[in-house]
Amino acid sequence: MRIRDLYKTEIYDERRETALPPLLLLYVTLTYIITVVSFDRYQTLRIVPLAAYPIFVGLFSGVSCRDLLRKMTAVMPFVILIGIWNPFFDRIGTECFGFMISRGWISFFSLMIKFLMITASTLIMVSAAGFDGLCRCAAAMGLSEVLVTQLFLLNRYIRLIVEETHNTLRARVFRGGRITLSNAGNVCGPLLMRSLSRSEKIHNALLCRGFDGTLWRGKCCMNRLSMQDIVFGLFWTAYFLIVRFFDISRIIGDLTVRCVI
Amino acid sequence: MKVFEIEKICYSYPDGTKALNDLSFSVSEGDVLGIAGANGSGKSTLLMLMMGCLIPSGGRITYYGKSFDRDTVRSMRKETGLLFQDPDDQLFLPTVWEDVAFGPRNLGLSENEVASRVEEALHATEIEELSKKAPWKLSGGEKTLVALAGLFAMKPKTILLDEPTSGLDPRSRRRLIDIIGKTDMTAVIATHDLDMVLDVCKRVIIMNNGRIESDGEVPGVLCDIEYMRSCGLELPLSVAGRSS
Repeated sequence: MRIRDLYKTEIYDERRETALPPLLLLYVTLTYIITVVSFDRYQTLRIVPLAAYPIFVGLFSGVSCRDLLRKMTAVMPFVILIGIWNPFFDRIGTECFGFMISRGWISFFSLMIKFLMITASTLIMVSAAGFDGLCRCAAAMGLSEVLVTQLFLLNRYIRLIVEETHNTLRARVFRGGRITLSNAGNVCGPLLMRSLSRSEKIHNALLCRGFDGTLWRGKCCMNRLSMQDIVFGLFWTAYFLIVRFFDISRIIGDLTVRCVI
Repeated sequence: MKVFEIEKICYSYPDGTKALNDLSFSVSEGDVLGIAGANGSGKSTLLMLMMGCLIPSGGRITYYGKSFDRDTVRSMRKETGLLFQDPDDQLFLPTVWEDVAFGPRNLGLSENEVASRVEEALHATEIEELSKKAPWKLSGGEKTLVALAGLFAMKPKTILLDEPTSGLDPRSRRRLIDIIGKTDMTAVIATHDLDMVLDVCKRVIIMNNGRIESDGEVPGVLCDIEYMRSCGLELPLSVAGRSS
């Protein structure tokens, strides 16, 4: 996977024409994350019905499943590194689908599922609302303007570094150069200098257009939520609450068994 | 009325290289001034100094008679627009519309006024169809036009253009020249494109090694083949074509 792939399409491609306002997406995604995190680490099966949210919103927003998986795959090794120790430290056995399995493995799978759900929902939110939409939304909700502006510019700087890295690597590769540990410093140093130089130019360009540290002055008013948006928000909030307080998986399982018998 | 008055300014880069040396000239209201010179002659640095992005190591710049200080620079930037050599440095918001609206919003205008200015600027630069696109997905010429629309939306009194036609195909170049030619703003255009200077500017300054070699009427300066060569330049193609 190329470095640039990690940062392309979702955040910086053309704004997706989604009907969901950023404020609504932010609210529902936050509620979703809180709900997912609130489950105990051994309640693996109870989390599964929550997968409906990222699947539905992902399809509705037209987010590319391939890009989503790419990004999640890039972060996954870190999560595996954290969770893989669970089976070693938590060796108490428990029965699962008729098999004996250590609780460490259950908590490991639980961690992986939670990671997939939270990452997918967050990426979909950023994709559908746009990073600027979320920043504007945060500013409208009263978050410090300085902080929001910093966040937005940091995002821009990351993109700039990715672009410069891509250009530098391509220039080296096209001239037969290879990046090794011994010459990595020769690549990183100029890369940093180039990115700083471009950042300075971008900052100057901002200053020349009257930028004084605030990006969203006078335009923080968000679009009003329509009735459909409110119904969307209420529906998912209700769904999350039901999944949180009732064991939907068990209820569906029992009903299926009764129907079959 | 003098818009900019540059008196004996000098500028050296942090490594000690002298970029500008003892430069003096003025820009009056309504002037369309071309600044031509070979690569590294200091044209871009001069524009950055005029916008207050760099501080001269010597000399003085005044804007409508006021010396550059924090307040003067701030008010000058509201009335003066700079088109950067690389439009990628200038465009940073997610859509063309948002980017063009950035300047007017910083002027503290109402959203209705911002919208009308953006529409006006997009119309003037003939890029209405790009308004919903992401700037980084556009071609070089389109990016330059978007950056120019960003300037026009601020309704500046003066525009400073740094190599506006570099990297443009002939059609985009002609379009840009026509757009610049139609404006009634004071303009300072730093460029290698001598044909553009011939088409658009009334006066030209030729720079060489950080110094002003000549400052005068466009046809008189640009048609002197020996002089142009001594400055690392050539005759404009249209003039060279005529003389041959």
